[in-house]
Amino acid sequence: MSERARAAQSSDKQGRQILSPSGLGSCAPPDLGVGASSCLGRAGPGVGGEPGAGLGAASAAGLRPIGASACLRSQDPGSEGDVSVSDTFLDLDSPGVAGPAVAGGSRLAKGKAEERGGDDEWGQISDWSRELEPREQGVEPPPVEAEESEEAETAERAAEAERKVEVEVEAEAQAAGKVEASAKVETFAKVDAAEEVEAAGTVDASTAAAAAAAAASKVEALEGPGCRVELKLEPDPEPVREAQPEPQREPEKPEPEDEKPAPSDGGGGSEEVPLPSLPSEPPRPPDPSPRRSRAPRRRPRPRPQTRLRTPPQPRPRPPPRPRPRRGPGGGCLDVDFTVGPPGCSHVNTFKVGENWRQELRVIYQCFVWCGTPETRKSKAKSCVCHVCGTHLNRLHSCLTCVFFGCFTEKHIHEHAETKQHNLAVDLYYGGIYCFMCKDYVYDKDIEQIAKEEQGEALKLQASTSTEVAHQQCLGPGLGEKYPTWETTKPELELLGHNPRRRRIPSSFTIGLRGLINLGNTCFMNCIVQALTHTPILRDFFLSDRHRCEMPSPELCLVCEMSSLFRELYSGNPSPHVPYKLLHLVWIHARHLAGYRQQDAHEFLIAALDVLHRHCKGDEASNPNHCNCIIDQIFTGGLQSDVTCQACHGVSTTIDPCWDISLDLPGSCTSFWPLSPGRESSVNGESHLPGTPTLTDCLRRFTRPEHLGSSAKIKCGSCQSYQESTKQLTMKKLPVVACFHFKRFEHSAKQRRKITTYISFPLELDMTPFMASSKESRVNGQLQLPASSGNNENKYSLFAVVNHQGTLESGHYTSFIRHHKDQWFKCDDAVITKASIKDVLDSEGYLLFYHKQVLEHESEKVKDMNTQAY
Amino acid sequence: MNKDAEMRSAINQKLTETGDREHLKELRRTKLIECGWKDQLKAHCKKVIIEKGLEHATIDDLVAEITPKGRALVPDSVNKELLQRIRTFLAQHASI
Repeated sequence: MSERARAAQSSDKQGRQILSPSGLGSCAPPDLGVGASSCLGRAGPGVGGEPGAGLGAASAAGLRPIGASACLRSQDPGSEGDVSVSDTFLDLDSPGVAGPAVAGGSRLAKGKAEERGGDDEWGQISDWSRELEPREQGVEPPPVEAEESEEAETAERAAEAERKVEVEVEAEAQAAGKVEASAKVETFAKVDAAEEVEAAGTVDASTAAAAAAAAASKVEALEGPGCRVELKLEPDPEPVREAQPEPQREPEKPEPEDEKPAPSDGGGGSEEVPLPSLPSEPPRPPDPSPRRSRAPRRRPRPRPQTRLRTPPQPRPRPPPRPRPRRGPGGGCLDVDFTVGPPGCSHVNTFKVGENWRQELRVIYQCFVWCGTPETRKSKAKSCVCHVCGTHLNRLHSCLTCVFFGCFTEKHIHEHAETKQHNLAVDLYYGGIYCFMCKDYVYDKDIEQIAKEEQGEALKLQASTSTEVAHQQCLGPGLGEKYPTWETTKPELELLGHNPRRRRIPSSFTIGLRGLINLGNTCFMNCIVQALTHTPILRDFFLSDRHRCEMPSPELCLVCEMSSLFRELYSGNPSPHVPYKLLHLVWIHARHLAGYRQQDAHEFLIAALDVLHRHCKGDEASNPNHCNCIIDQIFTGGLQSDVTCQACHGVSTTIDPCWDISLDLPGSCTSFWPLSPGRESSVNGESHLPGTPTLTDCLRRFTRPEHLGSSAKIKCGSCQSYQESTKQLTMKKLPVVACFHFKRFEHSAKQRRKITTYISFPLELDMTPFMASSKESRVNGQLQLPASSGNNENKYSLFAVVNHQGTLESGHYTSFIRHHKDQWFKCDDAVITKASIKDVLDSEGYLLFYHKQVLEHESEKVKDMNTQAY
Repeated sequence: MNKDAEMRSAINQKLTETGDREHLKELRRTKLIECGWKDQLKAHCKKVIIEKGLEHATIDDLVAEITPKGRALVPDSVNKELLQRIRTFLAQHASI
């Protein structure tokens, strides 16, 4: 422990960095959202375990996480795509978005940081998170503690108490603007204790709590007068571990009032009762009558005010000192901004008196998020519009009296006007609407309370729910937040049994492992390397998503792939011997059996085919409706349009395809209308002009082709044999696009290998080759579509398979992309680092591109596609 | 209130009381997220806000713009499944 403290101290010198890792989560699966999401959905707990909202926080702050990732899901092209997706969608979210998740993830990350003793990796991250902290910290701590205090499990209680106190301490320290070094050390020591204790699998409640109490009291002594006094209370209830949910009302200390200079609770307001005011009965009064008691206590109606800081006159308290606004801007707040602080003056006038919190909670419990059967009954009975009787139409409840009115029909508006009750709460989402400001207002305190109540209600629901599915659906209401990962008892045990923690720096080599050549099996090794570094496939297998449906699992190639992934990502550096894979390939793809040299592309197609078949068991699955992972990833739709020259009627078919085979210049079938090199800068293929590029090949592939008079087709519309043109375009782009250069020519004249160098880009935009872009071709000249800013069709290169040698004999090697922009050359058992230049200068035989942004495939589109097949 | 509305209100009451309403809501939420509806709508929201200007967009504006599109974009399968669940529920609570 002492060395930990020392280590913690050293990291402490770098400032507030220990909190920072909380922000860096992995790219959460929910962001992926692709049609494949039904398979990939949420990663199992084995993968990393960081909740993904950290990235949301980063994005919200306009910052990108740097380099290091804390789990296997590294920032390579697939994940990069995830980042851009989440980035797009989280731009407008409030900073509070990542609240609980960030705090929740922080503990795990902190543990890692402790173990590493303040690594450089986290030093990097601390830079950006430092900017986030003043804003975020104020939001996070209370939800953590509120949720935690409800746990009846003793083990988790103590652990959570640690987290609670320490997170709280951090928050208070920052709110007060002081970062006490010693306070930090205490905190870290406490965290260490918690981590160790957890890691050991047993949580000694008393020692943990004692440590916490000691630490907290020390901290409290260090904190100055401006800080919250309730601090010392948190650890105390722990040793007295009843099933009673005690200080759940307690942790509602006011947020650091940085952004709300208005006359809310100052440093020592009357609300901050340091004693736990525990109701001895269960916390959910089913009777909404407490509300009625509020009516006579109504203070004078607030005057309509603009959002100035002037407190309304009839306030009993002296106006607080104006506080300088803290935050990234620093300095004093300019009074005249139009974007108001959270909350409005009308809400502030609501928040007076001792009991407004309690009353608000009651409202939430009874009318918005009902956890108990009693509250549900009362909600069912009473929550209808008092004017029109509907329970729909955005029902709102007046905050001042007992009135329910629907929003859409403006019944609540009428009430607000006649009674001058300015605030109402939305019974569906819990948002507070201010009729004076004519908008929803987001007051930090109230949001806090709302979050807690919602969490409570969901927990109650989950605990009484019989359906397992609902346990996972801890869906939010006020804005989108990801639920924290809270360790359950079995998980704690698991963590205890596996105390070894693995550190993953940016130079990690997990996933890089050589494959022994079993006798001309380099063709197989290359494809295996490419497949195992396909990000989305890797995610699928490493989260253990394969459920074997084969009659005999020993023959299942997918199971073998699964174990292959496990082997390659085990961290074992010695080369793997894929004998079982080879054996299975021989069994299932007879034409590849034997030790002769084979073609890598053939192997790829055969492997995909077998995997596809085995995903659904061995029976002949319906090719039109297969939803296996292989189809979700690799299958694209190739549209073939045959246009009759006479009547211009077009007959269209769409065929599924797993790859695109491209003819090369110099082959006997080649026909190159465009001078190669021109317009190749579309995809940034920077090579000498005159070099054919991948884009050229694709352009040739998708050009309209006259079928000639010897191949007249009977046209369906004009019912005659006519000459026609045929055009191939991509109707549906696969997630992983594989391009195959037809380098091996088996024509009547000759059998040879075409070694023409084709330049290919790192990033590829497939938009010009889509069926939708087809119309913009005029006389073979490609008119680029106006909106090429669309990200949907952009791909990143992640694997290249090369062949050296001749048609008869040669050797396959591959380049694979590892961790975003590190490339490695895989030559059977030998893996060497390669430069991007090496990759781009290589000849190229098979190219693997991964989509940058994964989009959803809505049901409608899916139906459309499958019909077309 | 006419018969139809009465019936709806009674069903809603029953659903709320048993807590099934919340279950269904969660189910619906998950499905809509999975099928991408939420992201589509979020993108549309952003568009609307950009059009209106960040300072001037209000919830009411958004609701007005988004509701019809949102309703149209819900996939049939989601609707069907939820409807099925409601039917099952009604069958179980035949007293309504």
